[in-house]
Amino acid sequence: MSNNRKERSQFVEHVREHTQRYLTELSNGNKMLRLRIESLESEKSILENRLTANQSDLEHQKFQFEELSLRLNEVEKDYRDYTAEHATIEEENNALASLYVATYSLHGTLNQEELLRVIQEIISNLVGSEEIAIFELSEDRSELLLLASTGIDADRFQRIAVGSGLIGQSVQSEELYSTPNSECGSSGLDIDENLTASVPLRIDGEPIGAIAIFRLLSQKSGLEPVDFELFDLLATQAAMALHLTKLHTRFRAASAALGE
Amino acid sequence: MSKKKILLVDDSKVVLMNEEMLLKGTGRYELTQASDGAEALALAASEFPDLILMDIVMPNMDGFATTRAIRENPETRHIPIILVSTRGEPNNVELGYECGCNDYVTKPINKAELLEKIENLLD
Repeated sequence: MSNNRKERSQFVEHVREHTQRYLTELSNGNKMLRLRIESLESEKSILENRLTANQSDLEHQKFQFEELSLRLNEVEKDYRDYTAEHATIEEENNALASLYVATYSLHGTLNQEELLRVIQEIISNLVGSEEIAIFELSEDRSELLLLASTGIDADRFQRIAVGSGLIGQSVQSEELYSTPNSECGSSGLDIDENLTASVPLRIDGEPIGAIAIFRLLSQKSGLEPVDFELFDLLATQAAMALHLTKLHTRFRAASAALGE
Repeated sequence: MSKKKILLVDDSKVVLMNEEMLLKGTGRYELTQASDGAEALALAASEFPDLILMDIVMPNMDGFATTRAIRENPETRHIPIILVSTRGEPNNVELGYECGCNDYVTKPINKAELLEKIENLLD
């Protein structure tokens, strides 16, 4: 009996000790879990702060990217404008150079033969044609008489009645004739078919002759803006230069006659 | 940077002046001129230009013959030559290369094209 009680007492003690140990371990586990939760919550808070910061940073960078894209577009537009402007200035410079060369050359001689050669060189090298005829108006102003030519059958162009064909008409109307670029380079037998431009030569608005330009060189597809500026210049400056060479020839002849 | 010397060869004063106007504006070249093939040969041998820009059609000695003569002289054979052709016909171009030219341009001269070809040969 006594033994039984002792055993029961020992058993109770044993269960109590186990329960106590279990409770202590449970309490410790609980503490650890609470610490872990606190640590995770703290970590979560840090990550949330970091996320907020990153989102704000991302927004800022998006804004900066949009601003830079706009700036880049502006710079690209400026660059395109600048390139186009540079090309225009370059074209104008080239045109001015051609006009300067033409003017300087036209007024560099008082010899008619030399002047006619210069006019043909200007057309050949600056416009790009080696089929040229230069005419003067007859005394009675009814005909164009061939003064010089290159690359064409001169016999066919010795005399052209004013008002006849495209050359005669351009002198009569005192207006430049030019073939549309799409029709340049034809090779018909008719005079008018091969004509690219007819430039009436004028002094004080009065026609004194004409320059006819036939086929352009094969590498040149059509007339360009600078060609028309050259035609404008030739219309007055070549006319003036031709007139001066005639006056000079007459003056020399008169001087020689007086000397005799 | 020192300016490169270019010899312009043409019997036409209009062409010489035009080429001078086109190249002078760049400020990169020193220009000398010859009005025919014989003068070009003499200047090539005495001035040793860095490049020669020469017309094909010239009296007495044309651009092809002058190019050949420049290539035959050991002292001038290295000088790059650009021929100026009135027509860009294949025969003309082929003959130019056979004579020893490095490149060619056609009239009327396009400034941008000419400068590009010059720069390619001077580089």
